[in-house]
Amino acid sequence: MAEAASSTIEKNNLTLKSSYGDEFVLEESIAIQSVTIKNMVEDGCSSSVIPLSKVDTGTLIKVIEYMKMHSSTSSNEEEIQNFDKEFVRISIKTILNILEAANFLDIRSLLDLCAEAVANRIKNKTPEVVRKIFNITSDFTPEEEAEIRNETPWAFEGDLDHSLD
Amino acid sequence: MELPEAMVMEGLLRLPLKCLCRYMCVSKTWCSIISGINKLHIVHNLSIVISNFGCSTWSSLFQSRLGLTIPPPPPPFIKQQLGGGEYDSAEIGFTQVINGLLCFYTPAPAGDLTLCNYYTFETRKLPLPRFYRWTHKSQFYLGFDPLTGSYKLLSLGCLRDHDVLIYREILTLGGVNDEEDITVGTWIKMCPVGFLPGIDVLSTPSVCINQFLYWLVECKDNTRKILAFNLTAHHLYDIPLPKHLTGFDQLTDLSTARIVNFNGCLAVGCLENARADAVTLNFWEWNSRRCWFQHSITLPEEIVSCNRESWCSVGNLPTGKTRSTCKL
Repeated sequence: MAEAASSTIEKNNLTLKSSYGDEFVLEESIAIQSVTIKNMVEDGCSSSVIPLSKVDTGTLIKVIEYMKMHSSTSSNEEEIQNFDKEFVRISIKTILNILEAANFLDIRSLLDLCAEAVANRIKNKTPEVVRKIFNITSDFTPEEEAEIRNETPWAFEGDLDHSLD
Repeated sequence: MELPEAMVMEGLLRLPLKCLCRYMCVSKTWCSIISGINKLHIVHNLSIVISNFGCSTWSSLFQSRLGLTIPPPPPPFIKQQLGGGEYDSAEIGFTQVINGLLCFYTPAPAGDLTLCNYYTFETRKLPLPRFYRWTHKSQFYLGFDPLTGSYKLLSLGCLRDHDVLIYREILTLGGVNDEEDITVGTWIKMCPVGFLPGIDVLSTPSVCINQFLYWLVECKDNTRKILAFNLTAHHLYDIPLPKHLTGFDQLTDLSTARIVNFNGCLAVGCLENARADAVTLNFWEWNSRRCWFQHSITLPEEIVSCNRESWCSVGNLPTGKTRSTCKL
């Protein structure tokens, strides 16, 4: 290992700082899966610490876990697929946090993965549950809501899921 | 926690139509996002309008462009480009040929999209659109915009075969710069479109004329019309059929109606009546004043008697003559 390391160019490390102030050291080659970070590195404005004021520590840990897995050369396609499947087996709120982080960091594949997972989770829910999940208060009057519901009554047919997760 | 609209959209884009309709009543913001997704109401199987793949496409391409009677085999450069016979020819899709340029594409995940000049056999790899997944509904259409001298490539596709939402992305190619090399823009995502419940049958492949794509569509109430998509303005509208074709007129055989490129204009053709020995082809040309101009052509009997469905390939020879071909 030591021999291999000395023969290659010294690996550049970047430090990512979460909104809580926690710092994570990551190889540059892994971190640049994020187009946002890549641009910062290329513009030379990433002296050492990259502050990610929009990403909390828990979310950043998940994002780093994802980037490490997806840049690893030792894992094959099947392993990555299984990893992705497990990765989104978390609460929908956490997925939404990661989705937002993936958007900010511009990691296309992670954004796709999370958006797909969100869609899968909410596709059989009732509008009431969706409001709770997304923390939305309805700004329709009961009459307006009834009118919209009456336009597509078939959309409310079938077995809908009332659970929050 | 309130998610930004763009994030909500990312999730919603992947939902089936039924869920979208149900979530219209979540809030005003969601309602406006979803109606944006749904606004353009087109047919859910718009993109099933698939031309033939593979060799049959090549043969008809070459036949129509070069006036050959015996189709040549696909040029070897295509095989080279695709890594030596890795793909079945049936898995390769082709766009229209515009000014000698066409695109061909192979299945994802290792999919490729290649622009090619089939006179010189030069090729150039193009970036794939963001939403490109290989499903049977994925399709690319090439159009030419004479005003800016650029080409537009329209991609229609779904994330999964059964999806009712169609993702539309547009890529601009060109114009031609001093090095005579075509510049490639980036894919621009447009609002995905859902289906219009009133229309569900699309009986014919699309026809691409200049920067317009046309489909002949059939609505659930058996009426027909033409859907047109402007590749430059990214704008979709419909054209009513000539009035002879709209009613249930016994004098025309609607099953033989086709849209074709005639003299560089859109035209609808239809055999005169439902009798099998009909030999008169009525032809309506959509002229620049946006009205239909009728021609009548007497077809050679052998074209009509053998297979009424395939009178449809009509083209113009450089000599100004009209030529009609059919599969025997």
